[in-house]
Amino acid sequence: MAKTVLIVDDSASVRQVVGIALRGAGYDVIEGRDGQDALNQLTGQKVHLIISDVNMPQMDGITFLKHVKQLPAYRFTPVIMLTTENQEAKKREGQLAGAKAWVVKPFQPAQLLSAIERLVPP
Amino acid sequence: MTSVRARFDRFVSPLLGIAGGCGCAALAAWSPAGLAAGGALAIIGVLGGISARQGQRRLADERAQHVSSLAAFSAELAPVWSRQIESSRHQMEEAITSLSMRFSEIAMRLDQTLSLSSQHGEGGQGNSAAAVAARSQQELDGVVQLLRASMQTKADMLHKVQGLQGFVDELQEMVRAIGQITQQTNLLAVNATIEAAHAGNLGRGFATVAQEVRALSRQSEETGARIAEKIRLIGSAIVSTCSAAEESTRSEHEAILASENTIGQVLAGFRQFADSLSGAADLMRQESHGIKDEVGQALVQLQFQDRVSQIMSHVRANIDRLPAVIEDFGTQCEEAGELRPLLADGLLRELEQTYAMADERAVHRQESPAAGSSAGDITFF
Repeated sequence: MAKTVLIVDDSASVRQVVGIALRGAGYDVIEGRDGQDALNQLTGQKVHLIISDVNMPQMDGITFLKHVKQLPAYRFTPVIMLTTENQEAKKREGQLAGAKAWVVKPFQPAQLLSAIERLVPP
Repeated sequence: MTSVRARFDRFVSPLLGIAGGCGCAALAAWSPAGLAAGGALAIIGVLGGISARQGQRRLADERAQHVSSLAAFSAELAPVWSRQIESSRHQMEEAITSLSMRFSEIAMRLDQTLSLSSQHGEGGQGNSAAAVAARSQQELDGVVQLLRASMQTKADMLHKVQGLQGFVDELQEMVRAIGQITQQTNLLAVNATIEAAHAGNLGRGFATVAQEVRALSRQSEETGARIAEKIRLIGSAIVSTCSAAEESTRSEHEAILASENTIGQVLAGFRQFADSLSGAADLMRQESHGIKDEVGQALVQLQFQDRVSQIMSHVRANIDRLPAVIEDFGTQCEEAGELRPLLADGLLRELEQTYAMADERAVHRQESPAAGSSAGDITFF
């Protein structure tokens, strides 16, 4: 059965690029336009991995991550932060909030897939 | 401090006038001329003070107008800049999203085409051109073999028909033997008739038998002649049948040879076409893979939109802050009672704090952006 990945990004083009890469590798993909929209979608269905941007309207990625860690069904779901932010302070903030990896945009799909496979072995 | 000094400046002229007037009056020992001079000085001082106050009020009004015009300038201009930037950002985002969707569609169709092409081209289900050619050759060879078998059966039959000619010859020999027997019988009947005539009345019965034997002999001769004629017709039919069959066999043999030759040529042509088709399909597959990679790279490059959008958002937010900053500046000038320099430091600091990318920081500091220094970096925690 295909694994499900939730992509959270306010940029539709980034969601597209990530979606193409993941669907091409056999993953099922669901999308959220920002942290709040993504939280609304976490209603109990199995999500194997979350990929989230950091700077987003309504709810930023770090706040979203903190909320996810409060949800019993998704507490142990690995989260990759995919962002243009490359400051160490921000990375530490993400790490403390519970992120498993930090990928700086722009990214190559192969790099992202390799990070995903490391966190969610096939 | 500045406010105290301004108030002092405002009252110093009338005070000096009054003081001068009093001094003149004192020096003139309260003489009328001294009093007049003192009064004149005091009036001049008071008038000077009024004039100074009016000048200062005018300056304050001009300062307030200047600050107000600055505030109006920023309040009118900043929202327009902001709207234009936001509009551009939206247009770019919509265009890039649409473009990336098109690219996604192209990538998906290429995937489907490549998948179908692989199934057919690599003969996954035995449908490759080479497999079809081989199968066709096998089936056509089978047809030729059937034709050859049929021809062999016909040749065997012809051989048997030719064998009948030998029986015909034997029959003709037998007819000849019957003819001789008939002649001998006729001759015996003639002799018996002669002998019966010599016997006179006693041989009359025997003469009748001899005549009957002669009649039978003639009938046998006629029947033998008819049999010989039929045998000749049969022999002739067998010869013409064999001749026609041999001619047909030669024609069929030539037809089979021509068919084999044609089949060979058609299959060779088909194989050549299939090879060239297969080569073209391979080339198309390679090109499709190349195009798919290019589309993938184009999609990766389209991520610039996210970066540009963020930069524009940061600049727009900073522009939005400009009217408030100018308003604060006006308040400060008013409180200070004088114009102060309008500094960009605060707004620039705010802008810098919103940056997310190293490129933004480098551009802000007028440094060369480190090309792709951190792009694609992965940190695992």
